[in-house]
Amino acid sequence: MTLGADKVIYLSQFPVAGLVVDAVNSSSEKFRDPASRPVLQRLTDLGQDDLLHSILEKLPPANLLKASRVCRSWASLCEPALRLQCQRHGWSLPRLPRGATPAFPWRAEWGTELTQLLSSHGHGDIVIIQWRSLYYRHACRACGEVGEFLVRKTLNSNVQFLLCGRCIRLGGVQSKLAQYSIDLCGVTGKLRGPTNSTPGSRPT
Amino acid sequence: MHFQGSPNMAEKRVKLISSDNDEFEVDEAVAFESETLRNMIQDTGTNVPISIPNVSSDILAKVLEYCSYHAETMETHDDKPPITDAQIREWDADFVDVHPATLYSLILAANYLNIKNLLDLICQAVANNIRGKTAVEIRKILHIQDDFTYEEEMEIRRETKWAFD
Repeated sequence: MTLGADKVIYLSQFPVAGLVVDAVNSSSEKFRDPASRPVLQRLTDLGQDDLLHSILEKLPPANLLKASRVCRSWASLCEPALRLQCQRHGWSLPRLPRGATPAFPWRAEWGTELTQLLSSHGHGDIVIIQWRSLYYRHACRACGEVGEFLVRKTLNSNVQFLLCGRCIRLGGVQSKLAQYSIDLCGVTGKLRGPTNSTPGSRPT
Repeated sequence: MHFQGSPNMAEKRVKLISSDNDEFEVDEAVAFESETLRNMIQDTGTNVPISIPNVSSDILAKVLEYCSYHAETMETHDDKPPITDAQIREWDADFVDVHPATLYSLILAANYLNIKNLLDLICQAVANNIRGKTAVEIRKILHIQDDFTYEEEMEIRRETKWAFD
């Protein structure tokens, strides 16, 4: 992490070793010795977002998806790492038609401009998780890695989610699919790749 | 306290003073592992002792131990076999296998002193603690409150309609 001189001054305001400041969150009460609290908890309590972000970006995407559901601040902190993952795979956010407005807050379709607009109008507390949603749509529902197979409830219905080639062979996943009343004949599907299929292609 | 990178390193020595006024003398190459110290040394030179008011002596000793080991791994010796990547990884793993309080102080010190490799190492070690855990488990372990609004919660539920975990 490269920090400027101004950042260093800012960090010097934080407590040094051995001193603990109990911030807004009263989670420290759960530990007898506050110094024994996990590092992530102390950083979350103190709101040290730059360090939290550095830690969360070390997580693989599957864990990043889970971490982004912990709380609102973690959801925001996971966004840059998920954006990087999406950009690595060449996925971009969908563009809204001119004049169109999103139907509901917090949708993936919301763009950065709208986020800024909301912030300027005092709605900055709304968490936008557009990159998480985008990654989640492309991820294997079982393991969180990039999915390959489109899964439909019936052969002619819409795509519900994706599974990867490894997970689709697992007994636990197949029983879960059966539990969801998914037509397993359609699940064995066709490999979804850039050359041999389109996003809407039907599995064989 | 003295920390040496290697016998054939430059003779220039740097004095560092911790928050509890303990003095540490290190090779310039060891101090240069830290971007913050590098900038300070380039500004003031090696004659002036550098005060580090945010870092206690035990943590500074640990940080300098890391810096001197890694400065040494950069050096090539004719009489000694080179340190392999596997050995460095093993040493690093042992280095971060410490009490959470120490790890917390180390991450702050690495951030303040701007030692990128050390910061990455500690961040990875901390991240490994929550690897493979669900959001509920993470909340439980870290005592983090679920502060999503009703709408956001509904959105998550809509999204996780086909959840497998």
